[in-house]
Amino acid sequence: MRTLDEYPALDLLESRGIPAAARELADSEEAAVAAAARIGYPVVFKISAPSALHKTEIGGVAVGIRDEAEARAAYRGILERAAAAGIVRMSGLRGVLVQEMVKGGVEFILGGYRDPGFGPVVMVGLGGIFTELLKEAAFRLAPVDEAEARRMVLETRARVLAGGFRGAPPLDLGPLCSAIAELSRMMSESEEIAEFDVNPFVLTPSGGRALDALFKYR
Amino acid sequence: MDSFFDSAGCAVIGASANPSKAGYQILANMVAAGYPGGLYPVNASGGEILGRPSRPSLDAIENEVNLVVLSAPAAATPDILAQMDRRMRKQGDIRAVVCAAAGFAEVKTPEGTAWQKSLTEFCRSRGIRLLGPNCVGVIDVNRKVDTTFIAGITHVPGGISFVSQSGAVGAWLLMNWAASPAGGVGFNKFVTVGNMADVDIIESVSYAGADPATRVLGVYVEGSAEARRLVEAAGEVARDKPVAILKVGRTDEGAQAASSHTGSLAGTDALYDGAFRQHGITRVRSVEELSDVLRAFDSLPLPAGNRVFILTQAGGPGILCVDELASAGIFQPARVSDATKSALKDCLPPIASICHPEGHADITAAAGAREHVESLEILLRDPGVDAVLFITVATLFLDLAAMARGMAEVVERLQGEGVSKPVLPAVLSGDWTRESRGILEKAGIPTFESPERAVRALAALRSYAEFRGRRPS
Repeated sequence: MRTLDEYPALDLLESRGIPAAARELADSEEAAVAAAARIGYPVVFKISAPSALHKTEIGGVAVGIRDEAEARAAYRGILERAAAAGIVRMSGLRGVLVQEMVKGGVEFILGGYRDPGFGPVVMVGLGGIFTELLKEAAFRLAPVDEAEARRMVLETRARVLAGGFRGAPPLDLGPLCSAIAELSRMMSESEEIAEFDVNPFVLTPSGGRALDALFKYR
Repeated sequence: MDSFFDSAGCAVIGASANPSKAGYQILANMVAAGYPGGLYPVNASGGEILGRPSRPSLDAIENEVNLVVLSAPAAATPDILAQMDRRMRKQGDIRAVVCAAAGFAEVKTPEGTAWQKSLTEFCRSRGIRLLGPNCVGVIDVNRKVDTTFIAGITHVPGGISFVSQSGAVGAWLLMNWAASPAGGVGFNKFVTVGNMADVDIIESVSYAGADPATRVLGVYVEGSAEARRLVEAAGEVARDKPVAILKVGRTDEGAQAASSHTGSLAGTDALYDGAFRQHGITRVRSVEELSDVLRAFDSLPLPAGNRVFILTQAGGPGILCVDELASAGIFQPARVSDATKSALKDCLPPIASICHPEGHADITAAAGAREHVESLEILLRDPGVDAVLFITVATLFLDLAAMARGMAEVVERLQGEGVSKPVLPAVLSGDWTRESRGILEKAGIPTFESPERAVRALAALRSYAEFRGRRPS
């Protein structure tokens, strides 16, 4: 099964008009430091390799990097731990993905797969710890339009946030609904996509952004 | 599938003079339905059944036979196929076969599977449609056909059609309806598909749904390998008429384990939930709810909005109603005008609690039939009310029959004036209120066993109204 890990997967999303966090691939410590400066601190470093699908588990993620010194240390640390996990240049290591640190916002998980009976389906649920905690998600047969995507979101407990929870301003679901609709179109247009996760997709007052994604092909 | 319902003659193979046999009951049901075509019992032992001479073989029937019902044991299949073959060579008039007999592929024996295969292949090669095997058959109330062996049902013409993967669930529903306060619930077509050797649940859904005499479609389904086609077929019907589906087997049938996070949240049941919502299909969770929802859809106008008024004569049942409305999560209390409030005050007993809280009036046990009826009319006339939940507990001094007649008169008169809103009564309860519920139901106002069940039926009406109101995208 061919997979698209984070780096190419986020590019794919952007090519379909789904916004993703600002990021640059850096193949050296110097490149990582320069990229972090361009994106603006604080940043996140994530190991980037087709085989590194569970980046956190191998210690391949550093968040809240505030300056150049932290960036250099984080880069070296990630590459050392990656090497310990067998991820080196020869096995496809690209380097480190330098990504803007998105603060606050509400995390969602978007997903899709092919069910033997239903064919292509899409889902949305609250992300982060809520995915495991609530075990709640709304499903639809792909494709869906933005209006149907909105009804999906409002079926989950995210409807509380949409109305403005505990004094927070109401959450604009528009970017999320557009992303769901576009992903559902991708799923139904291409027989090749077996499944995908966009996890998390973060909604902030300034819009929505995919922070990580994974596509698997048949 | 028309050939199951439109026939000039019907032969029942395996007909029996013994009233405890399916082969007798099928004939009895056809007679009771008033089947207009020729009805021919077929069995080897001869004699008369229900005044009709039985023939030894299908090809011995002189008149036209378009429909054949098989009630003989599965082991008789080779002989039956030989009879059918002779008839098709000579008269060539069989167009549909309902195989009510069991013992075919569902028992998973080599013989059973082979019999089903040869029956199916025979029918296919001769252009004959086959229902079953192992099904309860079909009913069409309007065309006076009943090939089932269900005892104790009544045929009342109506707009509900029901397609079932389970004969027993279908029988359960119809037997319940026969015991309803009005002595029956109106329906149109009834199809049980059994083993689905030829006609399957999806084709039946499309067929019954497209029938102009069907106003609302009910479906019982256990599962389909072609889940998307099933949902899309039902969804096609739901674009024009309400569809309620009792989909069972809610435990995970082995979620199609995507290895991702998505997979951990998925399950076939969640997919049915989402797909039904997407297509405007009402999902019901029990036979009782199926019955309530189908009756409500067939008789009541869809509510134009989500503003509900609870008109109750008793406190506790009214609170149950409020709680259930809250869990439905799609309703608002109806805020009525000051004029409406003062009209209610004028008509109701002084101890009545009016609009505390909004959308709720407790007219109290001091309210008689007149107070029930007048307050209902006042509320229905208020433009801020989209639906009324009407709850009353039979007190000794409440003239239930007068109340029911008055309610029916108000609803009919207002409809004549263009005020068409659903009223869902829970007249509590039991045999004591049966007569009044019968009066309401005969007037086209379905009644409910409890306030909660009335709320769930209203929620189905409202969700479907919302679906129909969406702009086409």
